[in-house]
Amino acid sequence: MIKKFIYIIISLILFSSTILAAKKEDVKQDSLKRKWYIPRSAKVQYAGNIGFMSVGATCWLAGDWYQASIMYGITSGHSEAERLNTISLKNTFLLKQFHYKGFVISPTAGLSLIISSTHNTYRKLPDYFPEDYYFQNKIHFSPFVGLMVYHQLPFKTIKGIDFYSEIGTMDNYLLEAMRTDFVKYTDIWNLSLGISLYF
Amino acid sequence: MQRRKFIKQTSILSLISIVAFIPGCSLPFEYSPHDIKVKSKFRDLTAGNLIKIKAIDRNKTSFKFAFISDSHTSYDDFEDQIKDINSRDDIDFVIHGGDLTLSSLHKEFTWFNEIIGKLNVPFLTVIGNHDHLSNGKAIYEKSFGKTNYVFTFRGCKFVMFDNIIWERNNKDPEFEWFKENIKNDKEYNHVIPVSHIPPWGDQYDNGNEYIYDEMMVEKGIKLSIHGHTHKYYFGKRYDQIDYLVVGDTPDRNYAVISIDKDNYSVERIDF
Repeated sequence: MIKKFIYIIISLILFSSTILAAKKEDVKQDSLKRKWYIPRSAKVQYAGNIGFMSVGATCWLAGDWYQASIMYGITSGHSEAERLNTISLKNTFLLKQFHYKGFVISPTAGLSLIISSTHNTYRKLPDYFPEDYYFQNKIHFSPFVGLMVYHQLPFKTIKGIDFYSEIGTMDNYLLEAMRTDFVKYTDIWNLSLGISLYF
Repeated sequence: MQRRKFIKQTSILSLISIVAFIPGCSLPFEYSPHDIKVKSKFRDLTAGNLIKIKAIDRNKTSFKFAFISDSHTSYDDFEDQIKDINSRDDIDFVIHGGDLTLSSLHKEFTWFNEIIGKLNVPFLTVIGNHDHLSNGKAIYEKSFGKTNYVFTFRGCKFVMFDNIIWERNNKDPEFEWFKENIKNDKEYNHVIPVSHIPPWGDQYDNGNEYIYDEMMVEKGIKLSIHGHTHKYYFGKRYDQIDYLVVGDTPDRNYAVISIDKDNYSVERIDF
């Protein structure tokens, strides 16, 4: 599944590279100007605690240094849980942008806010619990760092594509790594892969 | 010219892909904070430990077991507790009284199992209220087995009871199953119920508290064992039955229960 996903991304980029080379046009970064709240790209992500596969829309803010994505993730069918879907707000900061030969390469860092439910997850506890019996467990925070590679495409509808991989963790696990000697920082990370198409 | 450009771009892409992927290759893909993931070596642990216990039964009537509870995510204290138990050579097995985790996330169960797996002797568990959160019950069942079960050892019957109420949609525990199983149906020397919440615990209302103690008296139970309150207690709370509650792991105490054919004794161990 993952191999297939990577092959598709590489093929897409190689295909577009060939067309661009044939056109002999200088590749420039996509500089579309539009209202900040209108999504500029669509994202598909594999894993990262926001679903087996999640899809969403991304708005670009702060002069292309910050992406806010709203994502819906589906896990049902890929977990033993009957229903396990997530909604997340993914905040990605582009720490630096390197422009090289038609590619924009960016190290990224960010924080996802993940909302998901089971029969025993609570934002507000039912009345039969004493007040503050549990801390809420419906919303989790997931910090991550990653690398994004953007490439402009010579199409009218899809103007660019980026591929990213991220290494992330979750609030509870990070806290245990900080709080205890037993949980090592190396124990808490997970990997995710994604692709964005720019319109 | 075009060919050169193509080769250049492909090389850059390949280099970036390698740099981005190599560090992450050994990392897992995780789909949800509430996913039900249990490593194969940590599955069906109750059944596995019962086989180990059966192998040391040897038709004797006396034995000692350690009772610990409420380790949650106090992993460093928990490691010390396991080391302390391992330093003794008189313990036949260990029972954990529930609240193995704090939030029932799959990594918390993994970390619990990594630590308790260092014990030199078999161990058994009951489920706690924290272990019911999220998809905890499903992870518990996959990792350990049923939440209500019975086992016997050297003429003694242990009734391991899931008595959680609020996290089971405010439903009463399966008292009918419990009452049926605490019967001394084969002339056992002792029948010892183990459950997470003591009858005076916060999740029991007055009715259930009364029902529980009445069942103990009716069935001739002498000792009932629990966790949950995070405070050590051993005494006759309602005048007749001995109730044992151990503190949580950060309290750095546990109990060693010695059993022989006619009697039992409880020793508090501080570590």
